[in-house]
Amino acid sequence: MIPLFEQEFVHKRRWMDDQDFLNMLTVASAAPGPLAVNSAVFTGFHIAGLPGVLAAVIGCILSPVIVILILAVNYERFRSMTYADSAFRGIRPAVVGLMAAAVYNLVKRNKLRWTWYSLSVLAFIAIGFLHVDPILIIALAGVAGVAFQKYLDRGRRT
Amino acid sequence: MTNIVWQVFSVFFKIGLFTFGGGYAMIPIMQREIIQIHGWMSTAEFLDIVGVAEMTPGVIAVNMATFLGYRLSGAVPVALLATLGVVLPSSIIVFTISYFFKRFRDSLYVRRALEFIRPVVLGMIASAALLLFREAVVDAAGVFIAIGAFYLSAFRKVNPILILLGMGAVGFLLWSGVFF
Repeated sequence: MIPLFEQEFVHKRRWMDDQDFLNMLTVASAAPGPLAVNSAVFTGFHIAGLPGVLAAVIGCILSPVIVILILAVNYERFRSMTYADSAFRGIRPAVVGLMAAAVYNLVKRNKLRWTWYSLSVLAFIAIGFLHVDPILIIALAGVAGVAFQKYLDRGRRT
Repeated sequence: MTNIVWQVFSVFFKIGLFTFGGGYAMIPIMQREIIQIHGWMSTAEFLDIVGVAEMTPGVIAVNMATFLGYRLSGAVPVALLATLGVVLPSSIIVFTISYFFKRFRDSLYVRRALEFIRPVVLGMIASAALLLFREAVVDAAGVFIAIGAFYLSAFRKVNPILILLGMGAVGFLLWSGVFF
């Protein structure tokens, strides 16, 4: 997806230069929400302000939403098709396998120091075994980050 | 009726607000809200919908929201409201950041907060995989399918859509009764 954006935004349409594009990726991946939508918002704003944002977001989600609505409305019909059950019995474990692959890729891609993984393990235990709300954990992580930075800054101010 | 409408919107707004790190990061949050807290569907059905949302074009977050919005209410406008709910918080945030970009980029606080959030998201997805495992993998064949999907995605970088279609075909071969 990202090379596609670069090709289109920077080279073909010349909406932004390399630095702008990098900024866009930074913001789009730092913020919550889907990367594609966030990129649309940033790019739309960059080009045309608020109307640009609206146009970009609508453009981004219109086709998938239509396809999904058609699927959803007919879901009962296609889900109860004779062989759907057996197919989904295969799909369900595959989904779990894909999630495990996502974790693997995250580990490989980020190459964090092992100390960070202690946070992963804590989150894993809290959410998987203690049934803590993941939203709470994420909020706490964000707050912990800010608190940690404040602590570092305090030492700097003399 | 307005109660379920508001609930759907607010649940997806929450999901859209806290999903850091891409598509799979929303699964644990959705699982908690939709299955555990509200009991709106079973884990098995949830997994089915994740599979379908993955196979269709578009971002999984939007697909899931639209699909679930419709499933939960039977009404297209509510589905659209769910979609709006899931993209609204992040759009507002990105819009605000774009506006004040320089301050965002230079903020050590933001950077540090994200540094902490990233490993947490990792653990979160892993825990969700664990929680879903029990419902998703019910027999030996399931184990092989899960491992196969993992291998194909992680090491062979096969497109997830192909993997899901392929494993669906495997399921059909094994369990439809057509072959044995």
